[in-house]
Amino acid sequence: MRRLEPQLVAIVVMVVAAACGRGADSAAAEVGTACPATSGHGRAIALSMLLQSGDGSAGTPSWLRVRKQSQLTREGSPEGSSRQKVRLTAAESVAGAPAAQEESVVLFAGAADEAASELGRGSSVVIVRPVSAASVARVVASVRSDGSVAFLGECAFRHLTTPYDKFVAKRHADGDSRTAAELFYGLAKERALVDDLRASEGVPRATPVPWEARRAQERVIDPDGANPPPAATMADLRSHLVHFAYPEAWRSFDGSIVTYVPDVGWNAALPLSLDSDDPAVQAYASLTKPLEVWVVPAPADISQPLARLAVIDPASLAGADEVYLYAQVEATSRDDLVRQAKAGAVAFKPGPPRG
Amino acid sequence: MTALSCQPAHAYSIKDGCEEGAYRGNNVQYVFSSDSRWNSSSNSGWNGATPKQVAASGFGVWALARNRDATPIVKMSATAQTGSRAVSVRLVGYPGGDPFLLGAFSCDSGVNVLELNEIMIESYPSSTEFYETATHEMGHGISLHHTGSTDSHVPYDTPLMSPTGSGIFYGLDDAAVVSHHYAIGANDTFTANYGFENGLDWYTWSGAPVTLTTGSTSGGVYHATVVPNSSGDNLNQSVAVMNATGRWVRPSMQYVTPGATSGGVRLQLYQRDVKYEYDNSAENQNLKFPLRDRNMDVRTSGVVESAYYVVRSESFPISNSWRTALTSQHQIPPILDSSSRVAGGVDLRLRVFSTASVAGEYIHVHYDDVRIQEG
Repeated sequence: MRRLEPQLVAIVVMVVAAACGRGADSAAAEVGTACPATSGHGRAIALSMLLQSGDGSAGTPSWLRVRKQSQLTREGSPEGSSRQKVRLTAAESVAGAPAAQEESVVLFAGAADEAASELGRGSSVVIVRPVSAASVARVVASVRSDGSVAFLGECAFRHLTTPYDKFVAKRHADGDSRTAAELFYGLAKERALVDDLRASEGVPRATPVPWEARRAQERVIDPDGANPPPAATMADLRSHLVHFAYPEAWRSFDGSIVTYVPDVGWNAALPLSLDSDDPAVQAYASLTKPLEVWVVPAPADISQPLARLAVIDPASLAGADEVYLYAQVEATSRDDLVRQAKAGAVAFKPGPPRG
Repeated sequence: MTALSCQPAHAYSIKDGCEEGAYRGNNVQYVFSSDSRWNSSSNSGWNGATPKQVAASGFGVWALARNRDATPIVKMSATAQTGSRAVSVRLVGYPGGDPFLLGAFSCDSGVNVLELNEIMIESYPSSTEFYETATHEMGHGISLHHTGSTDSHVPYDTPLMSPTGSGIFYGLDDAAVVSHHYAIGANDTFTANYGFENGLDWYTWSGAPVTLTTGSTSGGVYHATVVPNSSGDNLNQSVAVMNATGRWVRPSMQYVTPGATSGGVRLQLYQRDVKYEYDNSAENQNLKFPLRDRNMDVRTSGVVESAYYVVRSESFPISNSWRTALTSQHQIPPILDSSSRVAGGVDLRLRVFSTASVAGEYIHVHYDDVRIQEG
């Protein structure tokens, strides 16, 4: 989708060589020396965040390595901005993701300048693919023949190189003998390393497991979210409004209804207490697999599914658009509903649209 | 003081001294100090641009957001006069001060609060940083809080109001905070571009494409039109809401289903519980609505505590003329963990569906003013 950008950026931003230090011939340790040193607390987090900015499909960064100056050519500055589109030729994928023979990537112009310079002195340049081709690649690194790593671009020394060096130092202190470059490439492949990096930055939380690596029981089907199912998975799914009709007494139950597509994941939940004359939830159903209906603790604790209430044959959904599911049992409490379901009762069945 | 870009995070809360929404309904006027450096065109790497030009272009960004009547939500203009509605902007070199601070907005709770507001910009960063800093600090000048660190709609891009990033992009989060504080109407809104006057930006849809159509319910230029492929196709936008415990919200919109003989439209509000890590400093303690990091759940600063669940779901009848749809209110529950660096929060997702049809075929439905409003 189109995005707004500052209208007058063109006259403004075009910078590339200024305060935060760059320069075609600055050595790695000097890159960014004009960018004032700081504790970098806020930006220190940026490295581990940015290292997740690969293609996103597997939660593993997709990095491209350029080894020769001739492999990196400029294609111009999009919209006259501070961005520089470059074309990579004979690019090599670091993380095992497919690498095109030719590929265009947008860099900040400063990073592009420094990348050209670094290639000129025999270093490899590694670029983390941005999440979309139109986005700017934020992580551009020079990997030197001595095994050192320097991040390129405005303020990159402070924001990326400095925290990364601290991370490497800690790894070495912990007995890891790998060079900065080896650890860098390892970050592309080892989730644990990214977690370590985050920990070294004081980030308390572990990274989530990517879609493919999660068990279906832990997945949420949310193509609009941060961890969407792969396109191949979505191709078998169709979006429905699923209406539920159940006794008024169930509104007092501490539970929610959630639909589940086996081997795929969970849809959004519908709290039984929802104040609605026509409780309905948007849900994805498979064209080939059944749609299961579960009750979970409210409001949406899919980590503790309590009982399966129904299994809807995909054939019964074929041709249907809105789906109507009607309660088949009487229950006095959530626990009673769970008990009946575990005893084999089918709690919901599809039916015709409500009049 | 609020910091941006190449600088440590200096804590400053806009709430401490500034009047929130102070400029609502007014032009925001700013006046440059008489410092001759404003007019210098000799800064290396600036391509001849003067600091005044750079700053003014950044200030103008805040006028990009549009009300549903197509008028700018915030009107920005330079003035030669200082006065009760003018923000004074001056260049300082921070002699003896913190050399890493590129920008700050100061706000005095004195007799004439607004007249004493000042934006200070360190003189010699790059033009990019100068632009970012000026724009960011003017955001505070018009009472905006910080957003999350990355944009909700375009992950990995940095909003202008990010507390630590070097953002030059006016994104969903920026637009949403402007909408929240300044949008026309009796109710604040959490939704960016609710009148589609910025095109279809910041909305996501499934199924058939949404198109932008000329005409509006309220004097605006555009509204959105869609023909669903299935009942589950929907137009949606998500926002993150932090520390809004006890707030009442509800979705609303205008819609028309010309020629439909059956079906209807449905407004839904989904919620998921999220704990947002925040800097336990004065800067962020008063942060109310750092509008969403769409990718909070793969980021450092948000921990998703639940799947999405429906909190409001109401249907509305077909209509041959524009009609208002408004659900009942939903109260954002208390989700606080005051014992740690975690703030209670939720992600809210607005979804709009249509089953308006003729002879079993879905038809065009038109939406305008699609929003999550407060109250």
